[in-house]
Amino acid sequence: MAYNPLSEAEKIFILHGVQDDFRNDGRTRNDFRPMELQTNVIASASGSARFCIANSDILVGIKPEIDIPSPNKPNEGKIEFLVDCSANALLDFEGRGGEELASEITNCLKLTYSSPYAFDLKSLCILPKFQCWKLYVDILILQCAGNLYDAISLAVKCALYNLRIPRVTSALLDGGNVDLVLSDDPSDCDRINAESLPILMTVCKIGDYCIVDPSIDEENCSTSSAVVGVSGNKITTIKTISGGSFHADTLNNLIDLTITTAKYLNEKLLKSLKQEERQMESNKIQKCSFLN
Amino acid sequence: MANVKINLLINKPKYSAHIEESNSRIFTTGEVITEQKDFMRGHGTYLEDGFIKSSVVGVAKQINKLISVVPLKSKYVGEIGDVIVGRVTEISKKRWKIDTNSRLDSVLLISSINLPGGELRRRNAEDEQSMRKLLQEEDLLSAEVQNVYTDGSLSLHTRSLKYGKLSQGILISVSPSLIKRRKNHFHNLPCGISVIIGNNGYIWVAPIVNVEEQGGGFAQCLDPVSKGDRETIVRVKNCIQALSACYVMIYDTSIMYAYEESMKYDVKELLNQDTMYEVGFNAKQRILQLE
Amino acid sequence: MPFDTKRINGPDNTFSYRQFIDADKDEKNKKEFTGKRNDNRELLDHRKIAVQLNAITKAKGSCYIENGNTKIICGVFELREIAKSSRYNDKGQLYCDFKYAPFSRETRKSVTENEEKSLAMSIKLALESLVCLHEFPNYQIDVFIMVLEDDGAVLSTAVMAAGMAFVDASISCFDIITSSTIAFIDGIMVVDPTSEEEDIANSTNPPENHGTITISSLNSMDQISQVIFNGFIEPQLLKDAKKQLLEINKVHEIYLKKVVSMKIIKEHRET
Repeated sequence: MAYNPLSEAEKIFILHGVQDDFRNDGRTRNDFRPMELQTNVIASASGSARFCIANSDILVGIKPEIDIPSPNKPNEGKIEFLVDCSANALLDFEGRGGEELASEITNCLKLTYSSPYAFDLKSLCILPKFQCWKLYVDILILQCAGNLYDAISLAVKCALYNLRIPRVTSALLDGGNVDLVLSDDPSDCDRINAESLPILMTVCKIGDYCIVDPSIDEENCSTSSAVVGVSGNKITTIKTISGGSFHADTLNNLIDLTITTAKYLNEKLLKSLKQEERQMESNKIQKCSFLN
Repeated sequence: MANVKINLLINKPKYSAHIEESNSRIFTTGEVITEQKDFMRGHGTYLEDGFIKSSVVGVAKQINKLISVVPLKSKYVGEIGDVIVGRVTEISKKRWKIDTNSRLDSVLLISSINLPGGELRRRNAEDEQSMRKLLQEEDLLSAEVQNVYTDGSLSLHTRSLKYGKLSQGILISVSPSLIKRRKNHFHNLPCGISVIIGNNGYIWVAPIVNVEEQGGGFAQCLDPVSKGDRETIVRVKNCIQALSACYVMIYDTSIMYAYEESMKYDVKELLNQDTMYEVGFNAKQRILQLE
Repeated sequence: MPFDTKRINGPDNTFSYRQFIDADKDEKNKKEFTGKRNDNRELLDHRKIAVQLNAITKAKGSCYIENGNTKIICGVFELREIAKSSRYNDKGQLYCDFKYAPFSRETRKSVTENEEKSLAMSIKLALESLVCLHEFPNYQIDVFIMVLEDDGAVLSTAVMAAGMAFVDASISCFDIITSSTIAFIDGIMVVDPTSEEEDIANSTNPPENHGTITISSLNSMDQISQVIFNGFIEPQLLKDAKKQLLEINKVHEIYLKKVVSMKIIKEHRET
């Protein structure tokens, strides 16, 4: 995780702030920093999104490709996540510095998308045993200001919402060769139901309390933190991501906190996505450059 | 209930429209600043074909015969007598290395601090061994620039009761070119908190502590800060960030203006970009009226 | 799949014949959970564990552990000073290497290097709150874990193996670390699952409320040092599982303490 030096007294100031439910930027313990999103930012990807939480800036592009299903899962498609921690985001990522964090985040996404109730891979199957879609989800960290897990999972969700897979009009097996016919109409495409896609939420324990959406400074002075994946009102992952330990009862608080907060966050996200879609349909918006 | 706000980037207003015509000339890199030959070249310039040309984008500054170009973003270039806020990065023999937002780390010699227990006490070997007790790695301190070495690195001193180790509070880092040079950089603001505006772009916001009680400047108070004070500190922090986002010069009056403008909002509302810009621009307007 | 050049690799592009057996089976013949377990255990029973300390002579401390058919060997090696070129650390650093033996599972090398790395990371995080790292400033401690056979609950067994290896190496620790796993199949808690039960819990069409959870804990202070869950589940069930897991961990703790003291007594007699 990003490293930012803090003196003991500064840490204590942050700790007391969490106790008083008044954090170093005025937020309460379960407030998020302002977020921004935009979908369909990359024309060459079939689904893309940019998501920012304060200065943590994530760009996701999805490309579907045709693959052969694995022999033990003949009627399922595939999804692969790839996180790239670019040295532009944080100098510590230079060289192989970001590799460990990248593989941690990749694994966490993989785990949280692994349940068929969270993400249904069967819908990506074209012809059982022979052809399926494989989704390559490439994630780029443009800037890092803490709370990468949340930002990335939200960005992935937005990109999957935006994803348009060409519609297969017919798939025939012809003497062992597969004959696929894709629709000629570019607007004729399949979409993924994004409503129940899981989101990850980082919870940091500072003092006796849990906080959501930690800034870099807060990440540095927390004793332990965990990532929880939530889909609807079910939990898909829990993973501790820092070395400290916490009391057994904290786990219950953590679960309660994430379930309620994630539900609210999910509602807001879907609302914003739908609003953006309506706006894009009603009037063409001129962009001067894609990052602005 | 949690507070979640998701904005759409397609609706993001373009703040660039607010930039008014500047009356000072902006030089771009490689541009000839003056064709007269009797000038000396300073920072941000180079000499070619006998002309002084700009090596950074910024405004030209002329002091007597010395011409320099000041860029918007720069590392801190120290001058003797500047007040700075810095963070200890390393302890070595008889000195602390301090990060002061300049190109090279600055040094604080053990001989240029007031040792605890009286100003006139002789320094002994024990003091050298217990340097970590006074200032640890990652501790913050305020100090004054004592000397500038030829390579540009600074030597600091804390030989005054107002300087020393900083206790609880928030550090904000802004561009050093936004700091207005003033007689006094230590302020107790009328809203009931203190700020130290370091010339190096590090600003320290903290509750007011009585200097006499601090005793030598290395003691720390770790008692919880009252909720009221904390709220003010965080508000001032958000205001300073708003000023910095709008490129307003930062000094006690501008901070107070921004603070007053921000009062109609909740502290956490100041994190939103539109409120932030509104507060910053309103403060700027009031400063312009003053002039 | 990433290619490990340090080992002898089998030919590419081969498949285990077992994969095709499973694929050809009808949905009906699929492994199904009947509520009764293969080894006649009750749902809430864990398997017996057997621990042997000092299993590797070259290591500073080591431990061989069997949990049913799951067999893991772990070694902790001598402290090394971290090279001066990197940043000074006022705490010791753990390096954890976790590998599956190629023949440890039904299909050869079915675990990717990434998954191994992620498990290594989880074990490392669990151990960080166990070892008194502040006593080893700027030192690195290497832990090597090898899974010889995987029959479920690998992570929890490995955490205990590593914890015991630290004890065997006489490296200061705060407590004894214990860990256990629960699988959920259709909302039913299955304690200490075998690999078959784990497969059902995370298979391609699991019933709702499925998944596996592993909790590592330091029991004297009621501290949880590591949690990992994946699946899809009602929050309340997780809370129940946590309670159950902490109880099992307490049982393990009693046994592990006995192993350690027996070893000391034995060594004392021999000298």
